[in-house]
Amino acid sequence: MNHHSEMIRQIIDTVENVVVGKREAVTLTITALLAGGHVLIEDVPGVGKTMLVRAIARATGLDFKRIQFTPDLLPSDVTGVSIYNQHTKEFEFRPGPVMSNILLADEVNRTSPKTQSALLEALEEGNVTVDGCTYQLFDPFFVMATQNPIEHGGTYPLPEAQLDRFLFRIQLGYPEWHEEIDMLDRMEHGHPVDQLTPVVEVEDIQRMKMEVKEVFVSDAVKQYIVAIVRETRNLDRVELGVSPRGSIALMRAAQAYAYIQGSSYVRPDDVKRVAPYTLGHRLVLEADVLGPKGQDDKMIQRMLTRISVPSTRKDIVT
Amino acid sequence: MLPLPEVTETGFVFMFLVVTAVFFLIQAIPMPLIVRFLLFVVTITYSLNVIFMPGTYVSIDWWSLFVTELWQETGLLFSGEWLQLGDLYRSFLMLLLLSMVSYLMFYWIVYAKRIFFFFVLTVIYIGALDAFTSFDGIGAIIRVVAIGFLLFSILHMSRFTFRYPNVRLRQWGRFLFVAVSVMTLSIAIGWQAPKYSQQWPDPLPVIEEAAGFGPEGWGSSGDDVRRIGYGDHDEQLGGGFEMDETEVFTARAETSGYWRGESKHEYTGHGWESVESDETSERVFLYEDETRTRTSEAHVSFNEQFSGDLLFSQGALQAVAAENGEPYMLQVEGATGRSYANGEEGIARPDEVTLTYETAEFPVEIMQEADHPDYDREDPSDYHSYLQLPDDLPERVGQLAEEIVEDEENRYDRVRAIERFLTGPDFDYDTHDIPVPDEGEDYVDQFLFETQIGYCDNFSTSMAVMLRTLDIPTRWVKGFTPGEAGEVDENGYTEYEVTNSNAHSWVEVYFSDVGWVPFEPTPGFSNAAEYEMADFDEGEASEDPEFDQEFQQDMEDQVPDEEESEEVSASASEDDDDPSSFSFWWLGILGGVGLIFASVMAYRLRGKMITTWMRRRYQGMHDTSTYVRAYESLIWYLNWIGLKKAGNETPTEFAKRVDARFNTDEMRTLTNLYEDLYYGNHQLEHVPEGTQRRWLKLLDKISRNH
Repeated sequence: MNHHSEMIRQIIDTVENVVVGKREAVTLTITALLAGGHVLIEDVPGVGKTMLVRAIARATGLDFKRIQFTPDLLPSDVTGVSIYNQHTKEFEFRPGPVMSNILLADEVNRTSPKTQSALLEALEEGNVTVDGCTYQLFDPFFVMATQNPIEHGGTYPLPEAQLDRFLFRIQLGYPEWHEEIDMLDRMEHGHPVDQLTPVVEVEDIQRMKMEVKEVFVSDAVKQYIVAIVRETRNLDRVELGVSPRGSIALMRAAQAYAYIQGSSYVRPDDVKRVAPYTLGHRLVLEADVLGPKGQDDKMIQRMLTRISVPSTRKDIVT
Repeated sequence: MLPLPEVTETGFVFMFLVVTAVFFLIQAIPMPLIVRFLLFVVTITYSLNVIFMPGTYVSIDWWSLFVTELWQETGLLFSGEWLQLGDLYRSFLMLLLLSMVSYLMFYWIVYAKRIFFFFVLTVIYIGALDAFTSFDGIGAIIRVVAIGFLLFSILHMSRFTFRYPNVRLRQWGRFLFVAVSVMTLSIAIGWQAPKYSQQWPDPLPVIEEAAGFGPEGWGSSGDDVRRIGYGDHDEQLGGGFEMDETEVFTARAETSGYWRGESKHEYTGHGWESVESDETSERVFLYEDETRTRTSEAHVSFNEQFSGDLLFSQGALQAVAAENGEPYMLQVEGATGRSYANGEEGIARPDEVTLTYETAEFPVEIMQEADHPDYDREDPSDYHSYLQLPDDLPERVGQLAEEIVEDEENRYDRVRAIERFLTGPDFDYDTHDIPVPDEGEDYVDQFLFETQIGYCDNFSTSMAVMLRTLDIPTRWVKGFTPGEAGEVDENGYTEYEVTNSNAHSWVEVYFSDVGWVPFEPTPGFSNAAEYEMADFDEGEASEDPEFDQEFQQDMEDQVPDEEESEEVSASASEDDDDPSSFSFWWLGILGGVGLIFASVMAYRLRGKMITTWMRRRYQGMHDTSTYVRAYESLIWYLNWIGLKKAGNETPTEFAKRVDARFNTDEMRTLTNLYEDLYYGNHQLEHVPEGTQRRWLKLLDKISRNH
């Protein structure tokens, strides 16, 4: 157990060399990677979204590709295309950027719904279908989509059904005062991301992904997860609460988070930790709810204070 | 305000109450100041109108009259002639005062939300009324405490609501419920629990005396509660009395015995009537010639404040001499045995006298001959007055007496049987809450069959009346018990201090050839009269005067003090044996004190008790299931000391809080183990080494530092 948590610590430390002061976001990203989920980063441009993904890719030694979504991007630009080879007189598949371990989907809300759904099918199914042929994606396959929260003309906000394909939604936020100064120091002589070397093998990541599924979830914790998810359905000013898919996501996330902490079982603390990131974007707020983005996270956090944690034998409902 | 009629001669209390309520109402409704003022004026004048003047309120006549009166009386007020003030004006001032008080109260309660000051003042006021006037403050005190507590809790609550606006209403309901039940409980306990009697004499009589309008003489009658003392009015017996330690006389005497004042023989059904007689003699006749007597002397100095000329002497008084040498002759009223010193200027009592008296040894054998079936001697014919009984004496008194003496063959044994019966377990000695019989009720009948609780008058009168129903000539004797024995001087004279609380009554029974023999039916008292016996078969242990004296001291020690409460005596009366009922009483007190002490200790040491129990309960914490229980009980204990795990807190979060509070890391470690077992479903054979030690260490730390 300590072996893998040591490795994960190394990954996080390595990434932190580049992405200053974002340990939490880094940890959550690794969590999503190990849980087999994907991350939606919702933040303004320039806070280091790309850098975060690139650093993780470098530290884990995984293959990394990037798609800049634009309104004229076609689904085949994502998935790849079959080209007729005149020498062999056959159609040949030329894989698109989706054929990689880590995919950065920049400004995913800028492209047309058709292209979006091509990507999201890949997210959910783990494979792509081009011209009737299904191609298995790599393992691990990890998508990090970014979304600019500032409303712009010509954007296509992701539909609710597609939002919950993402395990986490994370906000990076601006760095602290001293962090920003620290960052400038590091950038003074070239970009440090180029100097990063992998600390783990791809096989390690694959093995860890398998082990995450072995993390034990007790009845008490399952009850806690269900209590949380059900409560979201009764929240004020929420049109639609979290679906059962959200319960599964929460459990997976908690398993991965517990795994990262070096534990063989899930504690309520793990659930509590990941719940806002897992559930926030799955809420559909009422149309007239105004206010800054991310207030759904805070709603979840407030809600957590009302849900009692099963912590004694008599708390377990049988 | 209810005590008002007691203190002043104020009528219309109800009216004043209504007006006060109206004042409060005016205060409570928001309105401009001028309107409020006008409303006050209208209320005051209108209520004056209702009380005093039949005329219509809305008329010019009334108002002009009112203003004139007001004007005149204000003049009187400022010229200081307060006694001249009329009722109307006094009521006017009263209403004015009430309006001000209502304003003040309202301000304090509603704005300042403080009532303690008023509460304390009210309690002091009622306490003072209770102490210094005839007003009985118990109801008022209970009322005030109840209302005061209620106000306290409501005000406290409203302050809290102000401070914590978020707390739900339901919790206030719970708060009020707890407050009210605590209040009810404490009032109920306070009301019912035995209380110490006052530690100093009731100031009222003292004040009255000092002020010069106290009751004349010693021992008053007519009031429900009297002070003990030697009085002259025995026509209406009954009622409780207060102890009074005022000295009556001090004496140096060779013998120890009751100080006889006089005897009475006319029983009315309510008390003993004095019968005037012109017959006088020069000495007290008590004993027949055959009775062996011994002459003794006593030097008596009377307290100057003790009025009256009556002399008190042990035995039969034979002669009196003033210590200052003035010649005095003894003058004795024939029927009652009242003795006076007759000097040159008529009857007067020198402050210090030497009394010569005879004490007798009563031959039990001879006494036992009287009324014996074989005995033919009759009582002197003029003794029929000692058999007098009222016509309306209930028959059951006689029947009871017959039953008691059924097996006795002679007069002496019968007298002893009655005496035994009265000193027996059926009756209790108490000086408080003794009723005065109603018009149609008989004093003796009430005592014997209804109350069965009383003091010497009850016992002695009952004995006398019962003996008379058996045709035994008996009279009722008043005087003092021997008093508190002091030093013994070189001549063998013992000094006795006799106070009002030594006042006593007993009976004398006539035996031919012997004379008048004293008997003592009151439990806890003993006459030191000598009964000479040929053998001890009787079981009467009264021959030795010294023994008697000691016995009496013992018994006096055991006579219940005035503190005795109703409940205790009620339960004591169920007891079989009189002395043991006293000890039962003490036992009750001791038990109660012990119980209170134990509860206080238990309360103070409750934390210690819990931890001790926990330590013992979870000794040998090896298997995981024991550990889980031990951990959960630790959580419970933390909760109990106020460190409550919030519902939304995970065990780890709680553990961090606990560790921060007690500056340890034990809770974290223990919680990890618990989580391993609870969330992790780890199967362990044994809990890790040192777990129990950690648990104990943490428990110690918590119990020491909380």
